[in-house]
Amino acid sequence: MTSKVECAEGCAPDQEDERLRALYRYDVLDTPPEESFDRITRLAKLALQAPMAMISLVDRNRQWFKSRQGTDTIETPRSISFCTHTIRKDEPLVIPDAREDPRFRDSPLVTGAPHVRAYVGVPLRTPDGHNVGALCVNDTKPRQITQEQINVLQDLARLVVDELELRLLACVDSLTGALTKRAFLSDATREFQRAKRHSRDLGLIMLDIDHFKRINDTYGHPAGDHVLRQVADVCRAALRSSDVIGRFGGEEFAIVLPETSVACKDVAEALRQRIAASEVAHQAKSIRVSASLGATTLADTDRELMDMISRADEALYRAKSAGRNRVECAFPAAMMQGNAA
Amino acid sequence: MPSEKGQSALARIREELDNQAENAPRESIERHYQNLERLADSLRTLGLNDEQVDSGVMEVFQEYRSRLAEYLATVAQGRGRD
Repeated sequence: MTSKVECAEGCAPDQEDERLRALYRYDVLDTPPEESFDRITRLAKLALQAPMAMISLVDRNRQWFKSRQGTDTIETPRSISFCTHTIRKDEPLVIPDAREDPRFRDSPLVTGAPHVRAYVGVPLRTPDGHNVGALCVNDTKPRQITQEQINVLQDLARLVVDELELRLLACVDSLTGALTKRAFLSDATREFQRAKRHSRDLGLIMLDIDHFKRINDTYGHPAGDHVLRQVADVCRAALRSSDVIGRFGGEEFAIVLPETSVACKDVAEALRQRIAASEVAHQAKSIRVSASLGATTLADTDRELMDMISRADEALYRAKSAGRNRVECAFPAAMMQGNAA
Repeated sequence: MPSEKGQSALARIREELDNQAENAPRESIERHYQNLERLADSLRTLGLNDEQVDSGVMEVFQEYRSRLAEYLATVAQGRGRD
């Protein structure tokens, strides 16, 4: 649903959704302060000789500061933020005196603490062209901002994006594009906690490529890599954007399905069929691939994500033992009774 | 004109980046180095002294280096399969 803020800010809803997706991909909102970003804001503050410097990430209805110098404010409503104006364009936004600017003179940030008078912000532009936030400097006195000062801020803003991008690289398995195990566990734990807190459904699938060692031994490791990539691609194509897939081990993947109950069995079966139907072309050879899957859903008794992973893993082991290329489920007994009824 | 100190900081960074492992993300590394070069120039143009430019560039790079090391460790883990 498009919020009033988006409309008020004049953003096209589709573009705004894409921008937010780009922001959420970094998985950085509400994370603790980090020295890598604090060093950049300290340098911005020093270079512009200003009392405040922030890295503002513009969320749907708020701006949240990943790093802040000279202010204790962690976030503000988006509707009163300067940075929401900055991200609308690809150029810096310079406000020499906010009291003289009709857009800002009545803002609580100007009329009250922190009493912003001068503002300069540079968009944080991702490589695919989304302005996810801004690096900004505020002063409590009106002032002119020179082009040289803006240049420094622009250079520092690029370095902020460098940091964000490198973090992202570290979360993604470079071979398959799936999340790394660590990043998956972080995302999946968040989904688990959310599902527990709000009594929502959650499905989890463990997937293991059958006879993967044999593929490597027969066709070589490049062929094995090709198989891993293709299986990940097949899964991604079949899953929703809200689902989370991670490479859990060598040839093992884990998938979390928010808002999904016993239907995760159908999802697992669809993945199995799609993988079995796909052939991996490698150096004029065609490699047939299959996978075994174990599926489970959140139980009332689950205390942590690992409870679900262990159950899905046991189901996966049964699928392997029963001949591979199949799906086994480990649904909580209460759920099966409910399902049967 | 770049200062000797600024040059040496960038030169040290360049050397270190050139010696990164084969599986290092070259695109990210090159982009980061170019951005540091630009920053050094901008800070100098702004009138920061050599020491401030040198330490500013180095400080930013040190954090990137730590993140890069984490990334390479993750890649190394991901490649280990039976």
